[in-house]
Amino acid sequence: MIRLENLGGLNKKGVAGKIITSFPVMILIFFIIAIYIISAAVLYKVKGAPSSLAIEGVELDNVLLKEIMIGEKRALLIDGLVQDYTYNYELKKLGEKVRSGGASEEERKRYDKLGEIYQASYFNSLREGIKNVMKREKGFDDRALCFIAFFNRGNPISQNFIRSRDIYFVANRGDVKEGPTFDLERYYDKEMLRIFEYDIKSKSFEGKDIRFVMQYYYGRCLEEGV
Amino acid sequence: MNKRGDIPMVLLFFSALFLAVAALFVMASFKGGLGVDSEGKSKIINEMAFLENYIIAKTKEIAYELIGGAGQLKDEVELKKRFAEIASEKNYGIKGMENYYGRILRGEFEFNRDAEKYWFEMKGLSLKVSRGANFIERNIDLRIEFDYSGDVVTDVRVLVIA
Repeated sequence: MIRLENLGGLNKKGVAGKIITSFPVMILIFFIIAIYIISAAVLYKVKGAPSSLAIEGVELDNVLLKEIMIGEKRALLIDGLVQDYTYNYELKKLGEKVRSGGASEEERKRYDKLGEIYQASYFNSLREGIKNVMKREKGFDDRALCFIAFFNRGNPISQNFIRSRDIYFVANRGDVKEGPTFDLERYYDKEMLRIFEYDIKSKSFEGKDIRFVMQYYYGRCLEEGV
Repeated sequence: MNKRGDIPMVLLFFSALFLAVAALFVMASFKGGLGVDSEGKSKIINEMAFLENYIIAKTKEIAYELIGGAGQLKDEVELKKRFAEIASEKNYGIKGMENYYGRILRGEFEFNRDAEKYWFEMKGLSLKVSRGANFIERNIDLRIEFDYSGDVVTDVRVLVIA
């Protein structure tokens, strides 16, 4: 009360200070803390909690070494993927030559043979192989599990790499999809992508060694319903 | 009451407000980069582990195919030759496997059999993995034994300290 009586004698700054300090300061601080906690909770929701990608019973790092059957032969998943991409790439290159009329007889035969191997059997075997690998995982039935592989010859850091076409996408119900990568980013954690490099040494590529890069993700699907 | 008496209280209020806003700003702008330094090292350790496991898996795959049709192969020389042929077919140029396939092509390994089993042995295989400035090199001895159906009986890996 004494303070209020003296208000009239203070200048403007003093009045402002007086008004503020006339409230119990501790209540103000509690109020600020409450705002802080609410804002922190909102930020946590917006930024997202650190997600655990480990799934019990799933060997995240060794998925590429799982055995699959390609036709009648045993193969490792990584080799199946590499071979598949190589066939696909070579088929595309030879196809361009054949269509332009610049292919030799040998190249024409190779093109036909590759088309037969690739389209008739190899890709289907690989799809089945990937499905079976995923089905064998203990976490398969009740949790969304994704396997995604990107292939390219470019720089894996660049956006063009991510937008390239060659992918395998597997969701929790064993659905295997291949195609453009337009909306894939919402299914995987970018920081968990692993990089794998390999060289192809083949006369079919005009005697040149070609370096391919594969990025792959194996872990929890950040979003279900592929 | 004089004016100076109120200043600490006003400062306290604004300090609390400033600290709360600063803490929120730090939280909002934090990108979780504390693990950057260890990430590179962790990756090459994982790559090395993968490479070792890949070599074991490839050897098993090659041996399985070989043993399936090994009945007509007479001796170690023919077994090794066939092993090298299959290995060559199955070499997809994976980075880091150069030494393994090089040693096989040069015949610097053992693949043989007795009455009970087949075995593969390679000593002092050098594996190298690098990422940026980080580099790891390991030398390992490998010995894998197979039964006559091509399944693995024992798998031994020994790290050799040079």
